[in-house]
Amino acid sequence: MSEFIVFVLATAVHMMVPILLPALGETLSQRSGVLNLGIEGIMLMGASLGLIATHITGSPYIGLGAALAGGLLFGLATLVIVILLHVDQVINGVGIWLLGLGASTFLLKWYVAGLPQFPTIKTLEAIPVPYLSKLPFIGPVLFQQNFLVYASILAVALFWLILFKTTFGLNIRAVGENPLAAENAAINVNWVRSITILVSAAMAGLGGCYLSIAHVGLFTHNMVAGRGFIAIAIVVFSKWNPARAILGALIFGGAEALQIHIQALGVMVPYQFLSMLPYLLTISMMVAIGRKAEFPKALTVPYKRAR
Amino acid sequence: MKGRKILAIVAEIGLAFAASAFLIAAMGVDPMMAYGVFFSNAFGSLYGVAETLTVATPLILAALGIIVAFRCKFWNIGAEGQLLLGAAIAAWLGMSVKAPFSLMLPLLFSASFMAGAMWGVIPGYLKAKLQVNEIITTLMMNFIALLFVSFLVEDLLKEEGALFPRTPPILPAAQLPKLIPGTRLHAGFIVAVALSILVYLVLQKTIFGYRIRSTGSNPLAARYGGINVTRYTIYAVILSGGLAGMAGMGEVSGVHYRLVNNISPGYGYFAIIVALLGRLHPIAVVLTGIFFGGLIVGSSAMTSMTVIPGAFMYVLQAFILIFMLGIDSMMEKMKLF
Repeated sequence: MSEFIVFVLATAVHMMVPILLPALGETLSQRSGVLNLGIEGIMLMGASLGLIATHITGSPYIGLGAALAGGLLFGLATLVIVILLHVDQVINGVGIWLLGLGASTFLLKWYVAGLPQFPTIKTLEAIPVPYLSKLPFIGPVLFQQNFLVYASILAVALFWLILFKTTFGLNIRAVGENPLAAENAAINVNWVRSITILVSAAMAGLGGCYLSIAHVGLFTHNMVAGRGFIAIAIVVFSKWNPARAILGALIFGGAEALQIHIQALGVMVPYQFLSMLPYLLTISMMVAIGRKAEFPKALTVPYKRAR
Repeated sequence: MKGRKILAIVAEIGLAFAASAFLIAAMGVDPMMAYGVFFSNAFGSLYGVAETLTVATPLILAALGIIVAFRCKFWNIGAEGQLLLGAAIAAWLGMSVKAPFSLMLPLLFSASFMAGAMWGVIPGYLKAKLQVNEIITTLMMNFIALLFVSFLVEDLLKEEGALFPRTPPILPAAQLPKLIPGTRLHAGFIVAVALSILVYLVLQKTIFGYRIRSTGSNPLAARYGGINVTRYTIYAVILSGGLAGMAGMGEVSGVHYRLVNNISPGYGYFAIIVALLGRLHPIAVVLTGIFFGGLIVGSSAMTSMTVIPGAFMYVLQAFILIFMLGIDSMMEKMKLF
């Protein structure tokens, strides 16, 4: 039984990453007043681009780079639409999401057309941390993972430091609470928001890529399966704090891990109901926060500089 | 609808086709030839037109639902799930209730309306009472509905001995009549067009519609004006989900005659673009819905005759969306609207 628990927890940490990475980026963008609702679509692009680049070059690192670049490109599109054209952030988000949903599948189908068989790749291998991986219980759960797991945990600390301990982080929060006052304090509102949009898009690209190159090793239509929206729910749940986001993401990783492993135990529940767990969990989480959520004051409000 | 708006929609579609032509050329296919195949299959023959209208039917119905919700500023992106629930109830009642035709169809229409409405009311209630963000909840409900359909098809209502998972067929009395023999076009299309007129009249010409629109355009002002914002949000969501549920019923009773896993290839998502492209106008979405129906039919013909992958329609659709966002905001800036 303890072996089973270790197994579930290790999978939980593994499945935490594709929600944690986009949630961290989204935390920054929302803190600056931008609801980047399109991250689901950007994750799909990351998953598709990452797989194709890895399949071509044989290097998952180049795959990650491609996903990052694709994320930035979509971030640029978001930036133009939201910052320059002042389009409603919700409409933009729906647009970017549906764009990613279609373009990711199109790209893969296009690539597959010239191949003898469906592209699959070897998933990222685990890199055991010396000494620590030998620890009982904690070792296999935390220290026998792929490098992106370690990187994402470090990213939590990094994002927390940026947001709460640097001037730039202070600027981000100021811009998200009261852009006019921030502008009067000589902070360039649109510049700060542009950066947070790009960061959130890049993180979404990486998060999506994790699914295709570190989890399953292939791409299927709509494979992100709502994780982008779940990440947005986590941002609210964690009160826009990167340190709390890891907790939220871990809960979801846990739900997915349970769903994967419980079936192996031979529990007689139709798999569809187990697969509903993360979605039901998200809704309950949103209900639990309900009215108590204190959104950044300027969230979704476009900023037009006074001339 | 103003002439300028219609002109903008045409320009957006034209630009999207022009941009996609470059992509087609990049794949080594003559764009003129590809578009020739596209249009002749989607609109060039009686069968093609019938096929286009068949696909347009769920798009129009779901888009009408989305319009009602969006006009009330309820961002319902859960039409897909509401449609699936409507399809599920129609398939279940259609295969198990023995009733004459004249009773069966009203039963299925109202049951699927209620199923879709119920699926929408959950996020609607959460939003109206607890201020839970509806974008996330409606999307989560989509995935739950998808898994529920999969459970019905593969487990609870599974047809024994079928090669792939599906439910037993619905009874003949539960089938919508065909409009043109030899095609898939069914009476659901007439229902969709009639409902678009009805939704237009309700939204624009009744106090009920006015209250829904006021709730959307300025909830605070609506509240001061004595409108129960909570209640009207929920009314809007009931209508919205119900219309999407009817779209699902049309797919079961008019096209597939049973429930299958991929009963909707994402109609609920396409319908969002159909509604936005039609500027949330109930009559306009009949046209944008038919256009998108043609897009889906034409793209699949293009795929079978050229090397262009079937996902091409996603790209066209995405281009339309991008040009729409761009052109709209620029026209607004230039004060053309």
